[in-house]
Amino acid sequence: MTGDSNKEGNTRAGEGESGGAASAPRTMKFALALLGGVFLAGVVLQSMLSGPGGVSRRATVLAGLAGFLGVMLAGLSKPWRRFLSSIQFAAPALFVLAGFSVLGTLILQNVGGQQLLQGYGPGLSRLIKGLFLDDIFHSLGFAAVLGLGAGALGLVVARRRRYNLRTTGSVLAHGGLILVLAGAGVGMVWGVKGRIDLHEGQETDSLVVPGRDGLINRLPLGFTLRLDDFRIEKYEPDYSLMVYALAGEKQKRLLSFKPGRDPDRKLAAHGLAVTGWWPDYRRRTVVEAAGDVGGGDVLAAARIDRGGKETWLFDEPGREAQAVEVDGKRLLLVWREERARRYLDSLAKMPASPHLLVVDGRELPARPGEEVPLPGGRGRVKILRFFHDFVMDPQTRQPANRSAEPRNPAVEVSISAAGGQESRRWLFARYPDFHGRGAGDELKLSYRYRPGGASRPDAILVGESRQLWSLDAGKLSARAAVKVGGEFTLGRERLRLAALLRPARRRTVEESAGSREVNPLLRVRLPSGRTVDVRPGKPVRYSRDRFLVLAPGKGETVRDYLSTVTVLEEGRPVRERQLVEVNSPLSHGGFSIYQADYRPEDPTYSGFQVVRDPGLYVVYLGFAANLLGVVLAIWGPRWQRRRRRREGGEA
Amino acid sequence: MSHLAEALTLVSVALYGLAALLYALMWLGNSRPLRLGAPLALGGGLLVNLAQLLSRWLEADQPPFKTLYESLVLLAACIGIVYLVIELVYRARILGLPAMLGAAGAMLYAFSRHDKEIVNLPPALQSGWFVPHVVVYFFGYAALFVAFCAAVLYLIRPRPIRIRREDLIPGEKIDLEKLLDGSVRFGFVLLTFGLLVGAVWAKAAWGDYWVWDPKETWSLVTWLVFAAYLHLHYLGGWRGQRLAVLVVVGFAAVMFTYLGMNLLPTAEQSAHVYQ
Repeated sequence: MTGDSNKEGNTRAGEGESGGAASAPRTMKFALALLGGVFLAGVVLQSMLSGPGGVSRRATVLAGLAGFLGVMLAGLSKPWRRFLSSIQFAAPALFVLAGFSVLGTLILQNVGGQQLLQGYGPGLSRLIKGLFLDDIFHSLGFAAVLGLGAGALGLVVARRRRYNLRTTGSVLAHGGLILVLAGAGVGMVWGVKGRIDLHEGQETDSLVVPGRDGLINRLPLGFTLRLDDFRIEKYEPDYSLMVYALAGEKQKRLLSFKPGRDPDRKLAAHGLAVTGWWPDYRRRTVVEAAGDVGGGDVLAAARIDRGGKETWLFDEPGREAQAVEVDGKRLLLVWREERARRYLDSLAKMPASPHLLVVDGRELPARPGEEVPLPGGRGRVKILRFFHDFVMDPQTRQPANRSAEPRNPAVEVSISAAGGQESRRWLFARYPDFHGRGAGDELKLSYRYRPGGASRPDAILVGESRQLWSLDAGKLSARAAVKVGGEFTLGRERLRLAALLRPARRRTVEESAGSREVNPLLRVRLPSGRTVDVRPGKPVRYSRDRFLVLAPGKGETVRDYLSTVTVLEEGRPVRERQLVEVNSPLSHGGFSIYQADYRPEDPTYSGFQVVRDPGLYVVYLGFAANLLGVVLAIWGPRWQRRRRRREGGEA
Repeated sequence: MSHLAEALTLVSVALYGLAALLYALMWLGNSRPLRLGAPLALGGGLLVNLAQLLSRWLEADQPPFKTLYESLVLLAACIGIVYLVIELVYRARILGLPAMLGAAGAMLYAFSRHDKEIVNLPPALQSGWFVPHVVVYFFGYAALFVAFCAAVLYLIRPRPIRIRREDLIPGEKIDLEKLLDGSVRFGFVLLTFGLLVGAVWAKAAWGDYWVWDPKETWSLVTWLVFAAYLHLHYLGGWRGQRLAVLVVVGFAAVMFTYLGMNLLPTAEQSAHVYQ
């Protein structure tokens, strides 16, 4: 520094402090030692105070305040005042702060001891722990250094000086930083930061503040917040096919191809070709009249319309007719009258069982104790026990009947899988969606119960003679003629016979339900000649180091998270249906409420961050002062020179 | 990304490159056609660059500052504008060559990027603060890049010449140190503004001014380094080589803040990292 002392002397004179006998240790080395010492003092203090959850925010602010006041006290002595407000102190302090900041990005912050140990080994991780460098920005040492810096800023501001644009700027810039730190400290001590979790329709009058030791405190809001509704706005989906190359652990995107828009040659360069693109893919079975398919048994079909919904009935050669249930009544299609008669005869001979097991839409009549083969060779199922009004007896902890009425029919079944494993489960007629499955168990079983015979139809549509046969307990009770296009009743429902087809043909059609990309599917021919279907979330690896992904081309899919809330005071709404979204918090009663969280699996949930920050305006004032000060200090002298030159010119 | 945008990128690379060539020729012999031609080529490149930025803004219907590709296009335009202003204010063309190489380099890097598609803005970036925060920062980065060029030129100057009144371009008397200092001061004001705008925005979006996100922390580091520069220069009387070294260090910190965040172990949770 010695070579520059002349220049420095000039600057000091400009600041209004005259040079003089200086006995303060004015070296940068001393400044570094001082800063290091203060940091270590903070470390020692923290290791004495530190509990399981670290130190409190209050202790952090107090450490900063101690640093600040220490400097202020030292500033009573003139040599110290001059040293601490000098460049010899300022430059090392700036570099030390920068150094700590860099450390805070190089060392993993707020991770467990185990992770530190893995990352840095035993020696280094002990050092990091010991100096509290694993949460550096909240450590007492860092706070004390910041306080020291703030104190030095205070001494700079308090310095006597001749005022001009530059010195005014200097006061504002340095003073602004003190305000920012002071405001942040006020916020840390007297502010509140917590969260509110609500489901639609729920309300709360308190916020949850996590404590340091994992305890949770509830603090009153002073008003009631109700979540009226929560929604997620999405961008119009826009899927592209991405071709990725694997290189070690990393993936490199080679190509992004927008189906329907990009030219096919883009893909051809990678040996790929699109053979089909459906923005909203669905497979649909269409039933249509087939041409003459010759003699023998053929497929017959009837279309029934029920209030705008269409249902198909089939009579398939070689298969038992499957009933369709309408309003609790079962309807069958049998094409030939003679076959319908034989069917009725067989019903009369077969004892009726009230139990019906349903596997993947296929109905299996079953009697307790009798093994029934599962379709698809997946093993066998057997009803072990039956309860017509199932209840768990609280005393015996055994299943029992609650009453004599069939109010809650249930069966316990045993399943012998094809592989030989046995499993048991309970099925309930009133809860068909409860399949009693264990994890990884794919078999979907449900249970139906009808005292009169669960598998017996209530009506047969006889295609050949255009008749509807009504049955009662398996016996023919009435016949009525039906016309194609005409109506008939089953139970309490009016149905329309929309079509009768024989021979009929079933055909699977692949189509797009619309042009919006709701359920996109892209069919791609690979270099090997094989064709694959690519869907979102299902990457296709087609060679050792290449894979395809169908992903939203524009990355982000969520446009906004929007909560509509109402603020109530004393039970009365004072602010109704206010929108809270990201970047647009709601302020009420001293709190700011921020949209902060959502759960994809819980669509009515919304999470809020709630903040009360009494230091807010002090910080903002500090920001404004600092910015204005920096501008004045940097460009002020230039403006002043220019003005002087102009005035001189005019004179 | 349309073919038009790709073509625009290459045209601006070519024009910036041409400008760099003309500025380089000035080092050999200063002539009137060169003095006219170089800024013209620069201006042409800048116009094409800005047209690309604007067309993307219109096409995407959102500010095009989300991906690294988009930020590089913005950076190239900022370098072009800042350099042009400096040439006009200081009447110096000495930094024309490195500045134009920087702008062309940024555009070439952009051209090589794989993230050229328009991506949707996440909710946090849909804010009135987004544009001022990014644009101010990139003008600041551009100014500091120009300062860095001056510092490097200062450090590697071919012969021991006086600090003041360089005449690397024949007939052009300029003060390299004054140029360097002017650029740093301009850059520092913008860094301060960008930092404060970012803090105000974070407060409005999340309720915290500052969360020690790695990029936040590194932007503080760059600010502290350049604050140290200002103190050492004006109060400490630092001049010459060590000041130039400090600017090189500061600009390295800027570049690390801009491009190096992926390298940090703490970057996983950052809101700022380019993919």
